[in-house]
Amino acid sequence: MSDERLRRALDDYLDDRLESAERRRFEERLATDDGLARELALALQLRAELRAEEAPLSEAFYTRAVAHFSSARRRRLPFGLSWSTAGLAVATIAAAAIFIPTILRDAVPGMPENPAPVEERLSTFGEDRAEKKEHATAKTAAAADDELRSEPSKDALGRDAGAEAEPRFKNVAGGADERTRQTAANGPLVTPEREPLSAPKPEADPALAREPVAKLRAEGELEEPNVKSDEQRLDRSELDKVADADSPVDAGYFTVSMPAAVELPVDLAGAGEIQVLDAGDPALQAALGNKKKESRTELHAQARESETPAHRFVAIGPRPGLDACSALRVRRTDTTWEIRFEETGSRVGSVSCGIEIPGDGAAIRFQGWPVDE
Amino acid sequence: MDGAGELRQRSGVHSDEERTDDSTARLLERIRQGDAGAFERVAREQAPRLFRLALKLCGRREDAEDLVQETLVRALPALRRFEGRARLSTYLIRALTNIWKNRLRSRKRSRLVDWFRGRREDEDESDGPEATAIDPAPSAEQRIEGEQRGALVRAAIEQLEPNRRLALLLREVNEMSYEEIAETTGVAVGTVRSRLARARDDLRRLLEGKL
Repeated sequence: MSDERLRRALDDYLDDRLESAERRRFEERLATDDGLARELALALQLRAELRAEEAPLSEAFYTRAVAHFSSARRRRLPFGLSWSTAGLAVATIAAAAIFIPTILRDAVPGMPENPAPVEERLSTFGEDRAEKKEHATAKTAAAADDELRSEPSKDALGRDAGAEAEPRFKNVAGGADERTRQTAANGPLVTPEREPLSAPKPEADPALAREPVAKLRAEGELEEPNVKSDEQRLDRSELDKVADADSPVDAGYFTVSMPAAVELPVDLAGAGEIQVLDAGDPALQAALGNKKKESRTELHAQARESETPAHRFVAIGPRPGLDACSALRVRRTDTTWEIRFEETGSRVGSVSCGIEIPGDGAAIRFQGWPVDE
Repeated sequence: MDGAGELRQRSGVHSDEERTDDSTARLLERIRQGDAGAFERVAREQAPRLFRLALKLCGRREDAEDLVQETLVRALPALRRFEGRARLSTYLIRALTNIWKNRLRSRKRSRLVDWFRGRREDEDESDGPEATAIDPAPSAEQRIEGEQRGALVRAAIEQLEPNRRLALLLREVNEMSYEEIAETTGVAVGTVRSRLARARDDLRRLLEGKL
């Protein structure tokens, strides 16, 4: 019998898998073969080691296990739902919340004008991101803004710099040229394509809108925006003027150049549109669960340290608590929401969140939904 | 079924085993509803067997307890259909081995991090006195000898390829048949046989002249 076959026979003998005749033959061989007998002795010794009694589990183990079981049960969702199922359901509801109003606006007569078909928005959104990414490698946001405000010039490749800047401000629903010209001429931070609010709207005092921002800057709370002066910031009346202009734009879309702070008319942020969330709120903390721990801790620490309740994180969109939106800080004045970007590098799910912060910090596109129609 | 069994069934008299199965099924139903008392009863029944295997798989008592605890907490409430006590223990062993394999994978990923921290994994897992089984009966010399032998065997087992190690431990520690091992690990009986043979060959080679 070869060594290999002998070992297999030894294993079968150990595991009691030999027929009686085979077993008898193996035992006869064992009586005469010292090497085989040593192999068997080693195998039996190993078996004895492996089957040796260990100290039993302590009472503390059972106490811990029961406590663990109880706490795990408390974390479970009602109706026996798993977290993955619940997540899928939430995602479906979120998608429905975004798309159904758009579809309804398309289908139901008398509904406010639709910003753009969903497909068009999504396709242009992708292009816009790609353009911004390309743009990030070419120049900084500040340089790009300067370029927009100056006369178009040729770049190193002989292309028109104005033509390159244009896609950054391109609206998802078109009308980019007019807005780009307005931005270049006035240096506004916010260029609405159409006033998304229901009329009539109260006229805002520009001084009221500017004052808190100036105060913040004086206190060092707010970084100086990359604009020439406060006058260049649009107030509500300017927004109205732009909205009244006969521009072929759709409701609710804004294109904003990248400042340190942005002001939006306060009634843009109607119920359900911009939601201010307390970073200390457990619900928000749960929503931030997939954010990097350090970053989350930092954001929460900032919120805790802030004495004013206005220093809260904001989620913009039909559903609150989307973590990327929490990269924003919001301050509400009498007439404006002032939104400050804490992390310009955040990647924001713009479809679900309604806002995109590009990596290069060059442009920000807001999607404001019409309120109280 | 034998005559006595048929008679019991016809007369509605159930064996002790059937009664136990009924009660275990009810316990599992209560566990699904979150009953901690029911969980504890099933845990006390199943944990020792799981622990024996876990201890050999992990090498360290703390890790083994943690593995058993996670297995019980995750697997018992998830069991939808009860098919008898033997099935329950097979199911739990399968769950335990799956969790153990997942941990092995994640441990491999973190090995580089450990290395950078200047803490080699084998150092981390070296068995302290508390991790070794202590038999109060033998003399101090015998105990030391036994501990050394045990440590040698544990070290050799830890060097085995995980699937071979699992097959060997299911056979030697849990005394499962080849068919049961095949069911637990989800492979053919022939594969079990071959894994066992290779595991034993590896062990012989690793322990030659040391025991």
